[in-house]
Amino acid sequence: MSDDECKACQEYSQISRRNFVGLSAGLVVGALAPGWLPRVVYAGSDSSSRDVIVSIFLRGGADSLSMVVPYAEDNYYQLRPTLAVPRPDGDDANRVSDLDGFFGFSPSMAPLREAYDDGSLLVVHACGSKDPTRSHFEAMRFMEAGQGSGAPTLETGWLGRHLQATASSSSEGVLRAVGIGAGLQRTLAGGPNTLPIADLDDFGLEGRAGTRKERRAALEELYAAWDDPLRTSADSTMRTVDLLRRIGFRGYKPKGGARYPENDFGYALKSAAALIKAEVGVEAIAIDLSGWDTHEFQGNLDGHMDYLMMTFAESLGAFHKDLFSDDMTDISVVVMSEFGRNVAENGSEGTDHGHGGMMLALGGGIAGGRVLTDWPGLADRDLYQGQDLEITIDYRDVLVEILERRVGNSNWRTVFPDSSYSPRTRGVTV
Amino acid sequence: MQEMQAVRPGFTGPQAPVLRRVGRLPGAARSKRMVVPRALLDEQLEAAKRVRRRRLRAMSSAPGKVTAEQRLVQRVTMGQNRVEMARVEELGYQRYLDYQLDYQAIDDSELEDAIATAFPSLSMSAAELLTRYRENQGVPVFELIASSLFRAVYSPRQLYERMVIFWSDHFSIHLFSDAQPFLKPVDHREVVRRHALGKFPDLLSASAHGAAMMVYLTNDSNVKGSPNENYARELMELHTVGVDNGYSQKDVREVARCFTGWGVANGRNSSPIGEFFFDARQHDERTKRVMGRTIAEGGIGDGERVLEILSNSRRTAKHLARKLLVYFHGYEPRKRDVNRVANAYMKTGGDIQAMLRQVLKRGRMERAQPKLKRPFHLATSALRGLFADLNRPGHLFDYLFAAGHLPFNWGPPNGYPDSEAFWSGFVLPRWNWASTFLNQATGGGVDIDLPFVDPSLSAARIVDGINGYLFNGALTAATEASLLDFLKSGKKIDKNKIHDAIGLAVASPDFQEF
Repeated sequence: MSDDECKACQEYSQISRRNFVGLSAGLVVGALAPGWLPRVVYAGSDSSSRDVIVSIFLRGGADSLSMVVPYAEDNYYQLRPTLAVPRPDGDDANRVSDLDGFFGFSPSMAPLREAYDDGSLLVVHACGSKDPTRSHFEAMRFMEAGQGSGAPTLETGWLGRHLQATASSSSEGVLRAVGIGAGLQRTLAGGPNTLPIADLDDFGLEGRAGTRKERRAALEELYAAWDDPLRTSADSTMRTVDLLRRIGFRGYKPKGGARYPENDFGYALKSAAALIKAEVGVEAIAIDLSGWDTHEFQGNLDGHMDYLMMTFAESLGAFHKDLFSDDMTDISVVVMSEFGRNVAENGSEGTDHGHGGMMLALGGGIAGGRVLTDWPGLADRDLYQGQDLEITIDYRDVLVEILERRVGNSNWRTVFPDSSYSPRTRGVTV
Repeated sequence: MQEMQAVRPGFTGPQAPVLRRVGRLPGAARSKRMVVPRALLDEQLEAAKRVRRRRLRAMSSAPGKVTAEQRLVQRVTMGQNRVEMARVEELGYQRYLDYQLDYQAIDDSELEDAIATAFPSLSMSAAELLTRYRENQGVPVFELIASSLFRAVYSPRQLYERMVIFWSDHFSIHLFSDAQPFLKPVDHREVVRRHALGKFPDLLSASAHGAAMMVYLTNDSNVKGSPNENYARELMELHTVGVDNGYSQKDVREVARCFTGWGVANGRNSSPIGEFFFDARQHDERTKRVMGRTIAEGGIGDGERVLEILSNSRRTAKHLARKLLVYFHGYEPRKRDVNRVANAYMKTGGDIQAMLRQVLKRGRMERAQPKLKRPFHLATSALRGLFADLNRPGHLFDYLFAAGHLPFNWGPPNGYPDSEAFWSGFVLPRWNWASTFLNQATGGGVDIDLPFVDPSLSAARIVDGINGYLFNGALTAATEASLLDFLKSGKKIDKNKIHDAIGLAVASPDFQEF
C-alpha cells in the first residue's frame, strides 16, 4: 500500500468489523445450514417478482466530477489544475476511460466498466437534491428523508415509507429490509420489519447454552409487553436471528469468479448478495461508504479518492458479476451522495462542499450503458451560485421511476410527500 | 505541520491495521490492566451494603414510578447505584445537585492516581506522544478509551464525567484518523476535561486553538488565497449557532478567511511541535464581513473575534440549551425550557453550570420522560449498579464496537447521535453483552461481589437484591416475575444461574431506559 493510498484507510475505516468477529462470537446458536444452499431451499415462501432495492449512500459528499469525468469540458481542466484526470486520448498512463464521447470513468472506476458495457449500469449526471444546504448532515437528512428544507421535518426515510406503503412481498415478511451498520440509516427509518445489522454472519443470541432457551423466552415476553420502538425492534430481532441462522453466510461462494475486496464495504455487498440469493423476502438493503469529504489532498489517481473509488467500484463490480452470472438480475441498485463538490479545486489540492453530483443505477431492468444527463455545462455562467455543478435532474426522479417500474409502487406521493415536487420520467428503466 | 505530515503515512498506512485491531490490541496494551483501586471499590461496596433495604424501599416509589430525586441521580450519573441514591436521600434534591456541580470539591484522587499510573500517555504533550508512540499508536488509543470507561464507571464526579461525554460528542474528533492518536489525548485533557463545567466561550476557544480539531477539520491547511471551509462551516453548524441559522454560504467563506494562518507547530518554528501556531504570512489581511459585521482586527485577532461573536450569540445559547435538554431531560424539549436555559447562558457569559441549574430544575425533572440509554451508558450503568470490578476493559471494547458506540470512534464531526430512533434498532449487542460479560462462565470481564450472589438464598431474595442494586427497587412487576420464573425453572440455582439472571435483568427493557 502506497503512502498516499493510506490516507484513505483511516478516513474510510471505522475499525474493521471483521477483525472483531470471532472474538466474542463462537457461540452462534444451533445448527447452521449445511454449506451454502441456494434458492431452492428457501424459495418456497417467496413468489416475488419485484426488484430488491439496494441503496448505497456515499457519505461525505462524493466528488462526482472525479468519478465520471466530463473530459470534453475545457473548463473542467482549467478549474482543476492539479486534480483533473487526463483526457482519454492522451498518452498518460492514468487517464479517463471514455464512456460516450463526453464523459469517462476515472481509472479507479474501471471495475464498473463491465456492468456499463453490458447495459446494466446507468450514470445519471448533474443529478442530486436541490436543497441549497451545504451541511453534510442536513443534506443527508433531506435526501434520505426524501424532501427539501421547505417541507415539514420527516423522521422516516423514503425507502422506509415505500415499505410502509406496500405489502410484504413474501408471506412471512420477517425481515423486509436491512441497514448494514450498527445504527439504522435514515433512508430506511419507519420501515416495517427493518433492522440495522452490522454483520449478517454474526447475529445470534449468545450466553450460556444451557439457559439460552429460557433467557430468550423471558426477553420475548418482556419486550412484547413494552412500548415501541423497543418492542418492535426486539420482535424483529428474534425473528431475524432465526432467519439468518438458516442462511449461513460463512460458506457463501460468489458466482462467476466475482471477487469482493477485503474491506467493510466489499464484505457488506457480499453479504447483501448472499441475502438476496437466499430469497427470504428481504426487499431493501441500505449500505454506506463513508470518507468522501475530500477537503485536502484528495488524490484522484494515487491517493484518498483513488482508494475510495477503487473500493467502491471493485465491490459494486463484484456484486454485479456475482448476481448477474447467477441470473439474479431482479435488483435495482441506486447510488447517491448528499452533494457534489465545488467545480474548482481549493488550495489544499482538495475540494469543498458543492451542489450537483451524480447517481448510479444498476440492475437487470435499468436502461444502462449510457450517461443520462441534461448537462448544464461548467462555464462560469452555468454554475450554481457561481461555483458548482447545477442540478438538472432531481434525484427523486430516478427513485420514483424505479419504484414504479421495477417494484410496482406508483404511489410516489407517499414516498416523496413534498408538495412542490412532481416527478419527470427520465428513462431510467428499460 | 511538516513533521506531523512526515509521520502521517506511518499511521495511516501500516498503522491502520494496528488501530483497526484495537479491540484485541496485542501484547502490552491489551493485556494491560488498570487495577481498580481496591480501597475505592471496597469503600463503595461497604457503603452500598450498609444502605439498609428498608431505607431504599422507603425511597423507591411504586414499581415503574420514579421520584424527582431518583430521576436526578439517573440523569446526572452514568448509572444510579445504592451509594448515590443514599446520598440524594441524605442531601435532598438541591444539595445533591450542588454537590455534583461543585465537582472539584469531590475527591477523586484515588481513581485519578490509579489512572495516571496505569495510563501514562494521558498526561503527555503531543510532542511526547509522538516521540514515545510513533510506532505504537495503539497504546494511546487504548489508554484514552479505557480511561474514559474507568472514569465513567468509577469516578465520584459523575455529573462532571457525564458532561465530559457530552462535550466529547459536541466537539467530536475521530480518534482513528490522521495524527489523532497523538493529538486527541491532549484535546481530551486540555479542552474537554478542563472546561467541561466551566464557561462555554473558554471551551470553544480552547477547541479552536487545539491541534486536534485543527487537523481533524483541516483548518491547518486553510491559508491565504485558498481558504478551506471545513472548520468554518462546522464551527458554526455544529459547535455554535446551529445549522443554517443566521449565516450564509458567504459567511462560511468569510469565516474561513478569518482563520487563515491558524495551524499547528511543525517542530521548526519556535513553538513546540503539536502546539498552536499562527503563521502571519498565511493570514488573509483584507477586511471580512461575518454575519453582518465587519472584521478588521487583523492577524490572529480576526479568528478570535469570530469566536467571540459566535460565543455571544443567542443562537449559540439556544443551540446548546436544546442539546443539553435533550441530553438530560428528553428528546423533545419545550420551547419555553430552551429559552430559559438560553437565558442562563446569556446572563452569565456562557456559564455551563448556570445552564445546568436550569436544565436540572426540580420541576423540570419531574416532567422528564424516560430516555433510551446509549450502548456505552448501558454498560456503565450495569457496572455501577453492581459495583463490578472491571478487570478486562478490552472485552468491553468488543461490545461497544459491535453496538456502534466505541468512544471517539464516530467518523463525522457531529458526534454520536442522542436519539431514540438511531439506537433502538440494534438491541442484540446489548443482550449479548449482558449475557456474556457479566458472567464468568462465558469468559466475562468483571467480578461481582454482592451479598445476593449467593446460591443458598431463595429466588425471591436474589431477585430482591437485583431489584435493589440495579433498579433501586423500581423494577416493573413483569420483569420481577420473569426473573423469578427464570431462577425457579430448570436446574437448581448456582452462581452461574444468578449471573444469568443479572444478565437478563440488564437485557430487560426496564434497564434500557433511564
